[in-house]
Amino acid sequence: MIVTNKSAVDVRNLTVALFNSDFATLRLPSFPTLLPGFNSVNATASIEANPSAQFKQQQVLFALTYNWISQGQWVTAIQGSAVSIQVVRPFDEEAKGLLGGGAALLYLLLPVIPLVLGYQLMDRSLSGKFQFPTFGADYVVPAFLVAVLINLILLLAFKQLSVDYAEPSTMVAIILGSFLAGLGFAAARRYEDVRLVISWRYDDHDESLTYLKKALLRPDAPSAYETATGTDSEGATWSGVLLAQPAAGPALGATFQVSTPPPGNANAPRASHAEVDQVFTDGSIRPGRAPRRELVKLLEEHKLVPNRAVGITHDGIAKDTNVVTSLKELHITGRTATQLVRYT
Amino acid sequence: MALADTVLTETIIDISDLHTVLDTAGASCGPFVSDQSYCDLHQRISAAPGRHIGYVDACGVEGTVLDQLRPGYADEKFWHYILNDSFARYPTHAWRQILPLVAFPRPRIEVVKRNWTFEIKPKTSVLLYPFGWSTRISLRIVGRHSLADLADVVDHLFNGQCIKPLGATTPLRLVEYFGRVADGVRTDAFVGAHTNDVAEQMPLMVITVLAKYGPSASAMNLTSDEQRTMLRLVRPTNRVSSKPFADHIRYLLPNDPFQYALVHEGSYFMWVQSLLNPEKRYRQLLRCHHNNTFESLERAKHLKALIANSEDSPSFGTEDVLVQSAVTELRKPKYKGKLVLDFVQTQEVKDLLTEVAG
Repeated sequence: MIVTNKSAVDVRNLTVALFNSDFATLRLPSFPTLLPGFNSVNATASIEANPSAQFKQQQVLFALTYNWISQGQWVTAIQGSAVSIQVVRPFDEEAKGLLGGGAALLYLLLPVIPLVLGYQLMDRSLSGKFQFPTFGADYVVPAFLVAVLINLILLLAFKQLSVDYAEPSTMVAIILGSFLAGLGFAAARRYEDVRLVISWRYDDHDESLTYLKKALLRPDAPSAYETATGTDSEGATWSGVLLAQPAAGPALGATFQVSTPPPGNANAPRASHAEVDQVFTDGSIRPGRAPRRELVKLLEEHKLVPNRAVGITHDGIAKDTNVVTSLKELHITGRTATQLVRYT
Repeated sequence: MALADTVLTETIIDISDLHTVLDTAGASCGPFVSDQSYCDLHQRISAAPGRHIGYVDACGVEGTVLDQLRPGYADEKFWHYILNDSFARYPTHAWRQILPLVAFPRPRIEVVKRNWTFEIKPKTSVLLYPFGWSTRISLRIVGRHSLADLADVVDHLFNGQCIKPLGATTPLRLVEYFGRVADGVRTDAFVGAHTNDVAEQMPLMVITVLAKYGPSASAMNLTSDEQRTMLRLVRPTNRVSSKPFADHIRYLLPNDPFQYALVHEGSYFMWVQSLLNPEKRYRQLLRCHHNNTFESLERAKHLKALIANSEDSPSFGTEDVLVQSAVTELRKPKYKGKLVLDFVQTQEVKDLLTEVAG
């Protein structure tokens, strides 16, 4: 908005107002109190079309009010200035990019596709059967509905927000934000799986205590364990305690025996009979989580010592690790009940 | 597993040197040669105070090595599996049901130790059947020892001069000691130097760990060095075994790495985790398990030897009642211990029984 004082008389208290009910004022400029003769001033006004505004060429009238001295008297004058504004539908410009207006649909779906893909990516990763996400034909209808809803919500919640996909940074922000929202939504829905992945995931290098802690105390730890035998995709045979690796396929582990350290060093910690009885009955761990927690505590305090009882075997050869996670499509051919840990 | 961390505090080793006599005609001790006299002797012993009599009372002369005679059975479950009758009536079945006697050889012995700190307490006895005998040495090892120490003890027993009869100046090798006792038994119970007997090539040996600290010896998680140490318990030689370690393992419970026997020819090393508990009742059960295993294997080997030698035996032919009893018992063992069932299922025993049936 440029305002020019075409006379030699000074103009004071210049203000501007909008006179059009189809438009709302977002910001009107403030001018200097004094606009000397033959001077100009420029400023910016922001307005937006109301829902009532028709999609057509509109004349928007701005009224400029100011004071000046005429024959020694202060007078107030108002002058109107009309601005032509074309009110268009959302994605009107983008719709011209593809024949038949298809681009509009794509832009409509733009926030939805990364959202769905992000969701799928996280969901499939946590399910342990990872596949690269796809946007299949069966997603089109729900995605379109979601897209309309999202855009409607955005329109209602952030009327002043004007999304311009032509702006690269806006597009990147929309795609990234949508993708992260998809990831977050899937992660929230599968909170327990996320927790398992972060805190309870087995590692091939897990020490005995770490491994036992993960196997015994993980959320929903099985009450009984099985030794599985099977073959992997390369035909190699495996045997070990069947474990569930979070967000992956099965893992195999070793069974353990725990025993009290031999007497000899009087200062060395040793579990008492009562402590052992709290955890084990006839060498087998008592049911429930409390004995398992107590066992881990005794191991951490070195009152009991863990030793591998039956290791994992690969083609009949014992592996020198407590757990193996990198199994390629293990096909299980046999299962037998086993004790993960026993007191000896 | 860190086998070195396993501390044994009590282990028992029972060894038996088995002999089968082919011809008992002219035996110096009459009660051993006929059904009636054998049963009468059992009856006398059972009726005697303390259920034992002196050898001289049984045979009329002083034994050269045999001293006191006792029944070779007791009022225990194991023997009730063998003979399902009132214990008081056992002597009447002694011949037909092949019930043994036990004698105690003279002199007593001690085991010459290497520089071990643990104690080795020996006991000796001779199991007498009408058709043979076995000389038994039972060693109780008490005090802290490792599995490697135990393997050294076995090596010392089989390869060293380890047996010293009380009063003797030089220790004997195990085979020499068995030879000496065998000479005495031949004289005391059979036909002296003319006794026609056959000895088993390898003595029977059963080792059981009775008490321990620290981790148990898992059969399924041993390094190759640990496997070699374990194998030395049943195979006291430096020669490398041609069989893989797993082939020496007999699981007492399916795939339980802590309930197994390590087996090589006539030698057995048992680890019975479920009974390896310091509580008294478990201790007694473990001892019973060991005794029953040893006795059942020893008996099965005696019966097998009797059958195997029956064709060449003037005294115990294939139609003899003792041989028939032996065949019946081996076909369907009454005590169903895992190791004795394994033994009677060996191809050698199955072939023998088939041959006798044919």
